[in-house]
Amino acid sequence: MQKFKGLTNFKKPIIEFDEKKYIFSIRSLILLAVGAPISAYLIYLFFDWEAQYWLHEIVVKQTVYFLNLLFNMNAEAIYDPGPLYHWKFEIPGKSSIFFETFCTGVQAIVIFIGVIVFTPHSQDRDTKRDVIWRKTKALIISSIIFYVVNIIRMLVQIGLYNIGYAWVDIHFSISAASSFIAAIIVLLMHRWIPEFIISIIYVGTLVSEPIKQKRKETVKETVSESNKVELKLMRKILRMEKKTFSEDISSWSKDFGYSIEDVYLIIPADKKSDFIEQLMQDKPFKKTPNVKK
Amino acid sequence: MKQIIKKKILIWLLLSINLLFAFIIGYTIPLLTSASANNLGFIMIPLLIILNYIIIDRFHYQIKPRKDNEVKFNAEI
Repeated sequence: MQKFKGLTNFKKPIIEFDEKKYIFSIRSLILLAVGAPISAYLIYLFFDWEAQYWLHEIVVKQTVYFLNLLFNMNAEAIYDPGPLYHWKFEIPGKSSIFFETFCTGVQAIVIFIGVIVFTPHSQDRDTKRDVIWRKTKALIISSIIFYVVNIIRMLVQIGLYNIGYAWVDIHFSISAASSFIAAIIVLLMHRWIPEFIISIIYVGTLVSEPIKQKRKETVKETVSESNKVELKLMRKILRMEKKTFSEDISSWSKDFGYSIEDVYLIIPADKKSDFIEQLMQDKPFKKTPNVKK
Repeated sequence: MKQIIKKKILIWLLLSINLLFAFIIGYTIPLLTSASANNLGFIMIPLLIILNYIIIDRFHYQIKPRKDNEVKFNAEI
């Protein structure tokens, strides 16, 4: 427990995006991970309940209306309450197609409802000011898109079924293909609530922060005891890529008044305290070095 | 002035959509034949109330920065 407390004892990272600051509480991030799937499942169960089969009726009747309008199919929506299904499509000369909750597309809508509702709000006052409005916009527009795409999916499937395709061949393939819309919704969601993607990046930052802090402490101790530090460690602290590091490290060390010997960075005794001070900053070694003229 | 007209149109549009939403709910229920037809209202009307609150919250958000600017303007005088 003590060890866990130590891990959380650091300054919260701030992610800046589009001139806005994003800081999230750990509680809100946990709530997103737990609350979104549970709420999505519960809302789905709610709509799968017989008392909510009015949704089946609306979807079936709207689909039938467009089937007859576009394909002149003489299709009918039949109410036939049974143990499993209450509604079915009746197409002249073809066997009936039974309708279930999954056919309403509500399962995709509830996933996004869960994610949008539980997306954490930034602790920055200016960033979170209009978050409710942005969330509502994302919620309404994503639900409408899913609903419309689902109706179009059924129109295509039943249209193909009517001209002779086997139902098993077109049902799963077209349903799976129509799920591409989820990717578009995620992109749209990022436009209105960037908090969702940023919160995922934030979790990564939170996990890596104690490791970075520990690395800094190791370098601090090494430099305090001796005047040198491994270049490999410095590369990680400076967040440089392997490729650019070998090219840039010599000019970087000269700028700060350090030197390189073998695989070590040598810090002169008079620059030790300055090195440690710069190392412990949030963005280490970002300060312009004092160039002697 | 242009900004104010733009905001007024947006507010008018939001209220109109909300009214349209209420109308669709009322119009749809009698057309349904399912045994659970009335439940559409029980689900949609609370959502309508929530949406109403969100629209009011939006008005508040749009008015607030203007108030802040007015305060700053007065302070400069």
